[in-house]
Amino acid sequence: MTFDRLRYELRLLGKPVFLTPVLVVIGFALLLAIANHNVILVARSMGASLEVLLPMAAGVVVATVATYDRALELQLTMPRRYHRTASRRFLFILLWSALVSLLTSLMLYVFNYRRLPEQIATWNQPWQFLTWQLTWLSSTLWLVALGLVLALLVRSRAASGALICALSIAELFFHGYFIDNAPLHPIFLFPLTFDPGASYWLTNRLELLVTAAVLLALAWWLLRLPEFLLANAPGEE
Amino acid sequence: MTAQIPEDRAHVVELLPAYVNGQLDAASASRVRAHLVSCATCQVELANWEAVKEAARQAFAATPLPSAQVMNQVWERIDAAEQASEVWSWPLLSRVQAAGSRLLMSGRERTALARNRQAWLHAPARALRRLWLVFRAQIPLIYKSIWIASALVCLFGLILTVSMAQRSAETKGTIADIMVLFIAVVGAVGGAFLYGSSVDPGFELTIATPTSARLVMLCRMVIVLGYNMLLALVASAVFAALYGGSLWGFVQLWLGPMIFLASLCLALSLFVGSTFALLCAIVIEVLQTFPQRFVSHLVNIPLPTLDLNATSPALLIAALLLLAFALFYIPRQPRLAS
Repeated sequence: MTFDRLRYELRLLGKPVFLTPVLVVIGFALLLAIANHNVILVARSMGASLEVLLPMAAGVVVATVATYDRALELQLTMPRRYHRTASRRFLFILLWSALVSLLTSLMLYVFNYRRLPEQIATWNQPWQFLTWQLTWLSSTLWLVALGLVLALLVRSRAASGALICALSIAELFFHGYFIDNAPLHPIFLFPLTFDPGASYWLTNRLELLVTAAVLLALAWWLLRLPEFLLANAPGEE
Repeated sequence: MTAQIPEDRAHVVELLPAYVNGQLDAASASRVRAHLVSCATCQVELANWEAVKEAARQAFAATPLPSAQVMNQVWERIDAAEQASEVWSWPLLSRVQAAGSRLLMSGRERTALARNRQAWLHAPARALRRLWLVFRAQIPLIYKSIWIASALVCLFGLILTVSMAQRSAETKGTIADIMVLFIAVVGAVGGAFLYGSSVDPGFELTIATPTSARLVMLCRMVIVLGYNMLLALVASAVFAALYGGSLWGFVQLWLGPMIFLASLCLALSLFVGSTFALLCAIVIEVLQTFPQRFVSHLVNIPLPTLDLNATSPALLIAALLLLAFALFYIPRQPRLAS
């Protein structure tokens, strides 16, 4: 049953949605390899892709597919609640993105090309590896949750996707401002790339997880309102 | 006339009109003749039909035939109506063929020649009118989210840039670069969600019409790019008013990148999908931010050669090539009209 649903979602969302994270990682690695023959620099830069590009890709994908369901009216008439169907759909996307990120991080870790935050540099290996996964997990969950909420509030694929992109670019550009201002630490997405020696790294990761959970709860509530889902013109999902 | 005739298969009432007009074949005519010899009812019916025929002949003889001039006028009116409807038949070949076939019609050569000459004289005006109609028709069909998305990102970029510039020690040039990146995102959004089945609720209707898909896409591109440029121009004016400097100088910073990213996203959205196209544009934008100022020691990519923060001939040529690719690729999509 789960496999059938997965197959259905794959057909509904289209292969590009599932190929996007893979293409982002492979494309970025190829670009780095072509432009730079220094293996260590390439590997370190791949760490940046783990924290920046893959979460952004997951956020944009969810933001652009969250409200795109041509059979929405039909889905709302089904005995199965739509918020469950949609949540499962987002879970598939999130799990796929997490799998790609996990494999990338595993490869970097195994070949010793990892870039660890100083806070966990001295930890024992199993805990160190597991905690290091928060590098991509917290950012991915936060951007996915924000993309979902934006998509449901704005009811526009283009607008929500573009806002996620604009927010990420803003954080990349003004990272110095985010590092210098402690009140902004809870929403700073890329501390490892710009400030690996940060003493707030772990706190930042956990705060992001908590705010992501709040955003996901809000998205869950918005998905439960059929009137809200159908409020806009058809074809503008 | 035949209401009183019993519905008897033996009667030949239904054949009598044709019999009177001499339109029956020999076998049927002889059968009618044989029946009339012995059937009084059918004889009465035949007499009635002959009376009708005679009355019609007399009426026809009394009415004068229209002159050749009247016929010519009628044909001219019909042809004028055809010309008006031809505004929608675009291909030149079909017009020439139609003109040729009309020339072959006897008695109308002169009219056809005059009309054809007139059609050729008015062809550019008709083409322009048609282009305008197609162009105008695209405005309500374009994915409405594009208008919202572009305005939101532009506003977000402007507010963020201005507010952060006041709090951080960034120079005016750096702030301008950041604003350019946001404006380029606006262009990317416009290109990514411009054309295709996933962003056009009436896509099947669009591809079922004889109007060229290339023309439709090009019109949409012009409209969306024009709208985005207008937004960027407003943002540039605000920026120039706040920080001083030439408006045209600032426009030159974003014009090339915006057109390039819009063309890139359009081509990629047709080839792969809108989400992937948007992501690719953002990856390029992100790569722009990495090596130039922040972590050149981390990502050592020679990207300054791919400088998107200024309008250059190379960037515009690349944009044109991508647009040409999109135009070339479009007919590969399903066309119901063909």
